[in-house]
Amino acid sequence: MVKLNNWQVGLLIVFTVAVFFRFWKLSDFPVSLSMDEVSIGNNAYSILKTGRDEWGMKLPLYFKSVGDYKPPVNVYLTILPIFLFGLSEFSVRFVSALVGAMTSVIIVLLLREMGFRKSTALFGGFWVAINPWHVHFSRASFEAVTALFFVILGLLIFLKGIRRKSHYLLGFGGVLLSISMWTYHAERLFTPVLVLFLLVNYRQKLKFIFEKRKKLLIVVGWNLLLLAPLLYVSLFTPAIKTRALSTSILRDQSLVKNLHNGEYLSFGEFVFDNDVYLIFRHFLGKYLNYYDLRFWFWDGLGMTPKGYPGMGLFYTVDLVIILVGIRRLFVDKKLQHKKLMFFWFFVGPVSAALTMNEQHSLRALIWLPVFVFTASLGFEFLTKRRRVYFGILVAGVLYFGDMYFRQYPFYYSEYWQYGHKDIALWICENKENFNEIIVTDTFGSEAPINTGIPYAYVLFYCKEDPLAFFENGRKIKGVSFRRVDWKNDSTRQNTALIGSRWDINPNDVHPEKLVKVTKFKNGKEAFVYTETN
Amino acid sequence: MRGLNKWLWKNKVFVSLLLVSAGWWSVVLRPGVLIEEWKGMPANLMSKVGAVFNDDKMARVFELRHVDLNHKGELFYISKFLYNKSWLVGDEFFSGLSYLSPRFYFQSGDGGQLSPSGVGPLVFLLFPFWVSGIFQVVKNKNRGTVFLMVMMGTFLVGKHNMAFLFLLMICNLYFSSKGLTLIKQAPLKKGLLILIIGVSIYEGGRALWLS
Repeated sequence: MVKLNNWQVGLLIVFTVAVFFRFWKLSDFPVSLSMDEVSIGNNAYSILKTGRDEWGMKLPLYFKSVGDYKPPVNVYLTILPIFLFGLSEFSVRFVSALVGAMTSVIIVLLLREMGFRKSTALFGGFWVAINPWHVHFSRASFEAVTALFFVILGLLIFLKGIRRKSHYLLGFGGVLLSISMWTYHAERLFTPVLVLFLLVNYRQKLKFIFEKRKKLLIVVGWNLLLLAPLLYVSLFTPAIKTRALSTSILRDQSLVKNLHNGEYLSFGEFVFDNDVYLIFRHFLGKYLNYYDLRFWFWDGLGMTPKGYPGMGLFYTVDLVIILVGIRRLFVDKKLQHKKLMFFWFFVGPVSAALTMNEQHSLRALIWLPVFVFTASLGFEFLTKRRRVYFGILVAGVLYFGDMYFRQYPFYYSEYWQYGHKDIALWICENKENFNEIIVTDTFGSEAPINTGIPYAYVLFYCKEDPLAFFENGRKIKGVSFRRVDWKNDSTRQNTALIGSRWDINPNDVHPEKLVKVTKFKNGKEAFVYTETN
Repeated sequence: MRGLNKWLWKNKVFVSLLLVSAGWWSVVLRPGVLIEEWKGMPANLMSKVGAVFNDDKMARVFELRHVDLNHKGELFYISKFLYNKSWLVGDEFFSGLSYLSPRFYFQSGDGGQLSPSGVGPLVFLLFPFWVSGIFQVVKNKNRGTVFLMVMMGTFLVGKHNMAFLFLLMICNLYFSSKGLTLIKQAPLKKGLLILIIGVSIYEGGRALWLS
């Protein structure tokens, strides 16, 4: 029987809580696989079966997927759970959930390494284990969660390397940080700046690395081995460029309409209204928006429509400890690694602010560690009021649970492509009975404003042979994916039509030909299944 | 007079920043607009208090209470505990806290008559010093309480525009100046102050040019 000391028991509890929050009903919530998740699953399955992605590329360094050029790490990591558990929702979400749970433990170790007390470090891990922001994104296959894990682990090993004066630990930390750049887009900007900061900030302590040149060359070599292909992908393939351009702040219409594109009407315009200033100002607005307390504590996760009770990135009760923690960060002169925390506080949301959307909680996930630091600093201050904190926290957890498992699916099931699994399973069963099945790729409960990739769901749930799919020109035999043109398509022979209610009005369909009508979680009609003669 | 001189000397960083901030001049040069806006305070207060528990908001809370994923008419037993009037009070509190949101002061303003055109009321370079300054100032409980009262008072009687956030803007500028004075290295502090004043003048020029 292995005997565990208090510290190890604490770590085990943190991990268990984190696992519970991430794995409970993992297959059912979120209510459907998102487009990204199903693409990750398909590509991982395809690699497992054929060694190629869905476009036929052999062991690619990036996944073209639906033209969004996914970073490779999550896809490759998902191969193992698919091998172990088969192609299912659980397998696709397994990596994020596990890595998310492990992040809580790594946070504990990082806080210890940064000089926090044991109890505070354990609290930090527990705080991440139940944090709505991290739990929410860990429960779906979001690359940002995996990337954050690698950044935190990399930083931990790096700081250990400095303390122990170990070349290999430093090198390994660098490798992990490099992997984070392969994992999510935001880290491609954040991690290099973080590394630069670490090298400058800890330059005195890093002097030892030059004492043994051979070791230095080896660890630099490891990192170059990982970074050289990334440079190649960035410079000579469309992968990173395409993704960057599609989400860049420079595509934001509210900015584009004000830009002069270098053509100024007067010198005054050139001086006071030049494009550089306009772009910077636009970025600044997005950046400062991340420092909004309402976003942090009240409605940042956007789980309900605007104006409804919502969910912030943190529990409301965290307001006190985070603000106290930030105050300590600025005021406490004895704090270790203070500059690192400052750096994270101000640089964390930069990469998210360089993209089109306002207050994007997923892209800003890399900012999370600074709140762990500050919440932990604030927790130390609580002392006698800890019971009150935990009491209110219980209410917060109940509220989050209700938001996550009841309100969020109700209001946003269609944005999670709810109904596509049903379509795919129906096609798997009935494909042989029809000459053709036509499936819409456009849908929505209020208007046909959502676009989906139903083919990916058919590939996933029917476990179509990936080789046959790309040899067939990326088509599934007997199934077409386009909007249903009711007037013409309803005259086709022996065809099944699956359209949104905007394409097919159930009242126009002969009752005998109406197979079924599915609904979104909010009770509104989603898809209409019909047969022709 | 001597007291004023002493105060001005003691707060020279604050006064310098005030004199070069576009937000300050855009308000003090239009006192008529300011007074006109302030006349609406009693009406604002009445409408805000009346709107806390208005029917629309109550309907939304009620809707969330009765959300039923399985469409079987079930009422989740803790719904009443989770969604009730206290949520509406919380919502108002966070709406009040959002009066502290830095975007308004350092980037956008309100786009109205009292807000400088195309620039933030305060120069954006002050943002990090504002964060450090605010915690430095409110570490004193009395000052913290006064500031919170000013913020909540503004929220209650005002609107989210420069006329009402003017006072908070001055407070924020004061915090920023305190944050700036925390820098110990004199050459760095001096350099930063020169840079901030230079950019403030540029932004003032831009505001003038645009208007």
